[in-house]
Amino acid sequence: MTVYSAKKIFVESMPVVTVSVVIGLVAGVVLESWVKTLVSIPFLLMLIPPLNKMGGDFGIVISSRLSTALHLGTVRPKLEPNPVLTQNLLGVLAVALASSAYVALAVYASAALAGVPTLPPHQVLILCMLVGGVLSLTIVATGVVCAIASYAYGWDPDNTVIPIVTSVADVVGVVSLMALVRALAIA
Amino acid sequence: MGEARRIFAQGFPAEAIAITLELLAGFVLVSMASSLEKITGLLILIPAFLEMRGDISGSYASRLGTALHQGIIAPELTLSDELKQNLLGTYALALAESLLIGFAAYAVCLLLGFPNPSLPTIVAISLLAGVLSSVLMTGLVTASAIFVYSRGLDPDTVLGPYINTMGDVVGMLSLFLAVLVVGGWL
Repeated sequence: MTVYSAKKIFVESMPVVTVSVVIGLVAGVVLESWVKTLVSIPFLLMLIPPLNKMGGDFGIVISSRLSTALHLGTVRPKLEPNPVLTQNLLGVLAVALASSAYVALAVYASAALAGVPTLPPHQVLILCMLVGGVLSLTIVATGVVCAIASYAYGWDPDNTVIPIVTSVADVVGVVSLMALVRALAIA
Repeated sequence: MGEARRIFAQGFPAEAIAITLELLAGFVLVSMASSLEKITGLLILIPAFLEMRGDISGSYASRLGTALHQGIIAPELTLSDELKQNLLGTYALALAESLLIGFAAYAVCLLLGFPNPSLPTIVAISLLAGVLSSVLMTGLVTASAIFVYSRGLDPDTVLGPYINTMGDVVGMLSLFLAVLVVGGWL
């Protein structure tokens, strides 16, 4: 008898992977309905993987840190003002702001180097800061709720919460990107 | 202010590295632009496919980390029974989810009236990319986890943050290749 069983891995992972795939399909539908815009402004396509990655990471960081704090008892499983929670939120939001600016810089510079037509630099910065802001606030809120839920139900956040917050980040990321592209009259 | 500052000091450099690597996935996506327009449903399956890739590779890597620490899997590149069960479970999961993603993307196209979706094209791309990325990712993750562990480092800490990014890059490359192959066939 082996410690690991392929069947057990399959059966235990299937439900949560399926939920995150289904949420991912929602993000895909948003993208597909904008396919003409995305293909005519390929620079927008370049923004999608780093923005989605960033959103997912903030969700992972806040929910893992909070789960640990809940287990240690430094945060109670209630939505109340708490210095540990405040410090965590401030820290993650600071990373979010700096990272959004970095995405703007990195995508703009690499697209320019590779000869992919870019948008004007001020538009790229505004777009990334606004998407990053909306994304990090929503994902941090989702992460806090998921961490408290995972603690209450005794789930390991690595197995359940992380796949969910990362796919929620995909949806919020593409929806806010496309909404802002429209609001700023980029397309 | 101490804790928030520490989170920033540790978090931002790691995030900047991840974003930099993620630029590669963006470039692959851009180079697929004309296929995205031609193959209805291709764009629908991309986020779901990358999610699946990240979830499955992430849990494979964290199981491997635990198994190395507990001595269930030895830090050498041999196909032990324990490793075989882990690989089988991972492959079965990726196959099932890739099929599901292909069929679901097609169904969504029909439901929402996106023009002329092709079931064989979309399922073949998803399945082929699923197989390709599974083989590449398990190879990459297994080799790097064993390497990191045999150097006395903890794979969970050293590799963990980069598994998703590696998954996105390998996933996008596999989709790119699958589109080339399936596009050549059909």
